[in-house]
Amino acid sequence: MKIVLSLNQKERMYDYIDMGIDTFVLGGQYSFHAPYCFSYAEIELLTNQYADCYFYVAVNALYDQYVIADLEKYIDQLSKLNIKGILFQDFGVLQIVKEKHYHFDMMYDPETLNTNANTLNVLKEEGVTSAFLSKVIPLEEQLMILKEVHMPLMLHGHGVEYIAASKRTLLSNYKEASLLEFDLYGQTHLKLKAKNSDYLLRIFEDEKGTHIFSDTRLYTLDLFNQIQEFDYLYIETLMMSEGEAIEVASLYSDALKSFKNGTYNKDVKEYMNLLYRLKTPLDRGFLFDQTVYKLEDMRKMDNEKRESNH
Amino acid sequence: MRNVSQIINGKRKIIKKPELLAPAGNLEKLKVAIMYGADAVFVGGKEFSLRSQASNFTLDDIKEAVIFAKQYHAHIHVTCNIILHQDNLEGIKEYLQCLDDIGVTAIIVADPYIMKIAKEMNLHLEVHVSTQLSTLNLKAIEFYKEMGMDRVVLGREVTYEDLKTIMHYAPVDVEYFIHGAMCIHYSGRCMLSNYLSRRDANRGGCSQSCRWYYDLYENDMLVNREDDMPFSMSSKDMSLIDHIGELIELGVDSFKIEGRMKSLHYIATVVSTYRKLIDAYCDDPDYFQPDESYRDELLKAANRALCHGFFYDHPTKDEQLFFLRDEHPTQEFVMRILDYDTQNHLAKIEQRNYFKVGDKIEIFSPHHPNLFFTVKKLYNEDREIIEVANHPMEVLYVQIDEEVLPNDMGRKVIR
Repeated sequence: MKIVLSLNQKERMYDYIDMGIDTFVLGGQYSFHAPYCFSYAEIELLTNQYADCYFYVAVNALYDQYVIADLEKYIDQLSKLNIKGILFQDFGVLQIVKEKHYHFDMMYDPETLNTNANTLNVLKEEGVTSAFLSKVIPLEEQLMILKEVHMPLMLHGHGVEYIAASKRTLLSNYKEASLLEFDLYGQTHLKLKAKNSDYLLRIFEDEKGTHIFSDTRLYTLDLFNQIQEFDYLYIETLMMSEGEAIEVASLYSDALKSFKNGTYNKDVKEYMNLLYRLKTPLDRGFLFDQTVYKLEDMRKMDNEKRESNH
Repeated sequence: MRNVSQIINGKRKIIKKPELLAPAGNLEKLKVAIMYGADAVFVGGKEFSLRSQASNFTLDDIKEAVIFAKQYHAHIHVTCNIILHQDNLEGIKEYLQCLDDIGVTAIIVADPYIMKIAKEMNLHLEVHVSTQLSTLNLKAIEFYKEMGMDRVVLGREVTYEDLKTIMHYAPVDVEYFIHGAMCIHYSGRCMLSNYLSRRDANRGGCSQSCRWYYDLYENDMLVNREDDMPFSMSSKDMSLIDHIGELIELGVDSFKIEGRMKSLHYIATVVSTYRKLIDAYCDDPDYFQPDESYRDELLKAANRALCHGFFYDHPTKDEQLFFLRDEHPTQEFVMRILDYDTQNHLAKIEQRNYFKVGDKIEIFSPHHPNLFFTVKKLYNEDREIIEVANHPMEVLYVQIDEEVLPNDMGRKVIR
């Protein structure tokens, strides 16, 4: 298992490499909700400067038709760099890469859709070469998929979880409709709470639309015994401060080293203590939870909720 | 570029009429949709379909639907559009084979595994890519074409300008939403319901959490105080009633109406309105006179305010529902005509909602313009005079001077 980190600051590359992390996801001009969007020149510089590292570029939005011509040119440019792969969710991106016979590792990352092994094996035949599993399925199911899929798989290891994205400018629209004053710019300062729920959401808006994430960070630092066979463990640095990103990356890389040295079971308690000291909200997401969808199950859940409220 | 028109006897006529595709949540709605002018109806099966709260169809229901549709040269599409999890994999092949044997025209699919096996099984039915995959561009359409797909249902985010390009080059049939509710987020990519309700949106359990009210916090300080408008992500419903001509001219293959959970009245009204509009435009596109009557008719069944969605570009605040839900008081559906006695001017009806003597009723029909009457004489099944109709589904008789037809419907006019 390798740690993959979404790079938030190029100045921290030395620190990450020093920790033993050598695989990075870079946000770019066409990325959807990246912690930082690197220009093409910056990506070129990074890939030249750190030639021993592996870089994926997130080309992971859903693209309108009018964007496609420019997107093709961008992918042409990326093909000239020392890029290992592309994270994508629009099959249009895969089609472009297939037509041009580029040799990127095409990591399918549709946020919500990679939920069974058969589908991923079909997509392998269509040109997908690795995949990022959905965050809304239990770990048990992710492990079943791992056994049956014949390509490298990435597991969301730590960080905020994607919840929804809209092409609309939902915050701007609300600001205009409500006439309330708040700052639209920035990724981390706005939160939502549904009137009938305690669950906190993070929301931000940019030129690509509106993005909603969990406020809590999913964590797997103490689950290495279960997740060790995944090819990649992803650390999402979106919405993390510089310090938090470094601390989290350091903890996971130390934990991985410890796991490889056979001391993890002894050390994990200390790692967890250090994680708790960061005082960031933590969560297990859906790793040990199930969603319901059948009418009878939903009714049962609604009834249970109603009874518990009385 | 698709050739959609031809000069016939010196007059341009549309020769490539789009399919009008309507939703149905049960057999009664399906039959009405077809009688009111749908060329095809999409339904959910009991298995592998979203909208688990719609009263989905058994295989026997689907069989009956196909037989009924054939009488009207209409088609049945079945949604198999869940995103499969490990525990949903069993029984798909058998289910698809049953649908094919029944004579279903198409399945609507979101999971590539179902796409693949449907093609490998060499079924007669077409395989359509669901809007759950949010397809917005030609390259993605080409990808699905290479997987053998017959049609792509575009994402609702596709603008008219992008649609023009797509229609110019699309290598497969294209289906475009013209009417109905809109997801505020990219379809298939929204997990709000999963996180807030533990209900899986991609397997039919969506709790529509986007339509809830939210508090917004900036740096942990509440932005919207008690009397302020709460944050909301609720979209107005889409209606492209003002742009049907432009869409026909592009050669869009299928016009989709959303709403498997909508009422019989809604389906009859919406289908009938678009049917009449499409037919009128296609008959004489160069001299077609758009008027407000089509929109007015739709509003009688719309329970949310209408907007153009992404047709022009990014929807603004005016395309969202905020503090006031902006719901329309729909005209109440009160009767369905079962028969008409032309000698006595007496209509046999099935009561659907409360009405009484003195109420003004509007009759609408797929076959004639709307007509109005005031209820003067009302009889029960034993032909005894009554004053009020207050038992749902009761068979009654009402005097209507103008001739009406079986399956015409009546709605109470709000004064």
